[in-house]
Amino acid sequence: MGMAMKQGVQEPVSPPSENVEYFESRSFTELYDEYFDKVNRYLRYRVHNPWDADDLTTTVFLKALEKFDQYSRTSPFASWIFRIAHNTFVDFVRRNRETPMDQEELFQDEADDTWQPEQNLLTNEEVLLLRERLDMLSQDQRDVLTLRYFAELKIHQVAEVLGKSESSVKMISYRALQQLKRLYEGGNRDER
Amino acid sequence: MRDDERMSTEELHDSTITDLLRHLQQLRRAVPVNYQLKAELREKLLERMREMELQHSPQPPDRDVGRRWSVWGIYGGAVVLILAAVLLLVTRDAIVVREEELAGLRMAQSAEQVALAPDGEHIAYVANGDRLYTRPLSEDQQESRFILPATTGRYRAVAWSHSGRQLAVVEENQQVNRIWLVETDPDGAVRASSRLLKEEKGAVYHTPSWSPDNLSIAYTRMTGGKEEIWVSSTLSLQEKRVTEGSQPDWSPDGGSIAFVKGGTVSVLNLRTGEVRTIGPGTWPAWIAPDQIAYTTPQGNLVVARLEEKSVESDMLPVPAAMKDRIVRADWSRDRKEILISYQAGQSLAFGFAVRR
Repeated sequence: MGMAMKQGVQEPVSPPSENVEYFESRSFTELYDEYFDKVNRYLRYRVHNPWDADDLTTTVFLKALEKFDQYSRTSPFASWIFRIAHNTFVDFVRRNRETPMDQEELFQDEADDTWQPEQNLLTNEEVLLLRERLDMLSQDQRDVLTLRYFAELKIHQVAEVLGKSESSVKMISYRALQQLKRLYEGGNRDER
Repeated sequence: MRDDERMSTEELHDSTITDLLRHLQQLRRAVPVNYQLKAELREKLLERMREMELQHSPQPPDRDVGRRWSVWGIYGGAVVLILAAVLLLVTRDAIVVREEELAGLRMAQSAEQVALAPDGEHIAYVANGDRLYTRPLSEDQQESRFILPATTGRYRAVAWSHSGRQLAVVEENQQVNRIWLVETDPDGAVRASSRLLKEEKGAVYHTPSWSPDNLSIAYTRMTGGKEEIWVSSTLSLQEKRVTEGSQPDWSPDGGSIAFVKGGTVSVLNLRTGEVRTIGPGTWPAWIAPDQIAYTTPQGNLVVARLEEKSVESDMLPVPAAMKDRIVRADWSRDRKEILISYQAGQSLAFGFAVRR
């Protein structure tokens, strides 16, 4: 295990050579601080039960810590952590296809000092509507859109996570957006 | 990364797609993040890192010259460890009284009218049923009175949020019963900024308990003598009944609620709906992810450790002045400070203690 993982205090990590274009020098804790929100939000969107999503988030970062010495640092951490997150999600779906309690029942809303119940309910409804429409897309389209727009990954990072080519991800993304647009415009026409 | 940078060129050529992307961005921001989990998991990861560092630290060289001393060192260390463990067992879970009776609290009419703040340094209390105060436990600071909306009811219960920045206050009225959320700053006097969480005719509320993320409040709702536990969102208008019973207390992970039904403490798993019986008693309070403290029918404190398939219970040694008379123990966030309400003659007294 690299010493760069000590409690937020990172020993200098030097790039292996000057011709390496990308080098991630931050410690695990710094990366955790940056990526927790994205991973948690991604899983909370994909898993209907927020407690399951939080359990999966915990699993993802514990796995990431155990495997951190296998992370090459010459590729973006985003791709690496989301590959773990996506695989963890896929395993979860395979193991457990039922969700006993829906997200909206648990009131797991973002803490907000502003008292805006109507706004909050409206947003919940919109999120649920989007989820319903995403469920009408293919698995590949859902994976690409959620990784790209909920995990905030770039095209090449999505490609790395899903093991696809960039051109393939671009095409899937384009078609998924067109399909989603039609679903919004046309009242859930399923044109798959 | 700016949002616009994520949009590929072909996506931007279509204005309706651009609108859709903006909509997705808005919805992404609406999906909540569990910041409490973020903090707790960070601690867990740091602990795991320390363990991993220890596992990977080089072993001391095995030298013949030092071997004998090493053996003696190991024996000596073992003896020290055993002594430390014995000392720990002897002193563990001892409750030491700091103040046997907090002054001025005899005006409180029930155990739920006084609450210990999460920081363990302040209390909130209701006096004569119609006045709400907070006060530091250190003597050199003044109490603060909170002026709530002018209603005719009496305040039945008070509970701190886990952030310590809000109080849930239950108002009981002959016509309408209410739960108020009151903004508070424990460090100074405040004219309370409050809002109504819930209002209902014919139902009596009591024993509010905040969820760990402060986004929900569980409480007892009593109608026609029947007690049920309900949960209301502190952000939206959502609410739901979770089970029959009273005195809910939310587990640290938010996944379970300890409660009382028929004089027995039980735990409801909110995810599965499974109910687990803990033991006869009242006023359950989670003091660790797998431990619940509660008051026995004999007026003492028990800590129940929830194993996978069994429950191990141990009596908590309590000060002699409170023995057999305890009504409720209210714990601080780190579970080191305890506000203990106990019977003192015909009225309730409140003591402040620390756990060692």
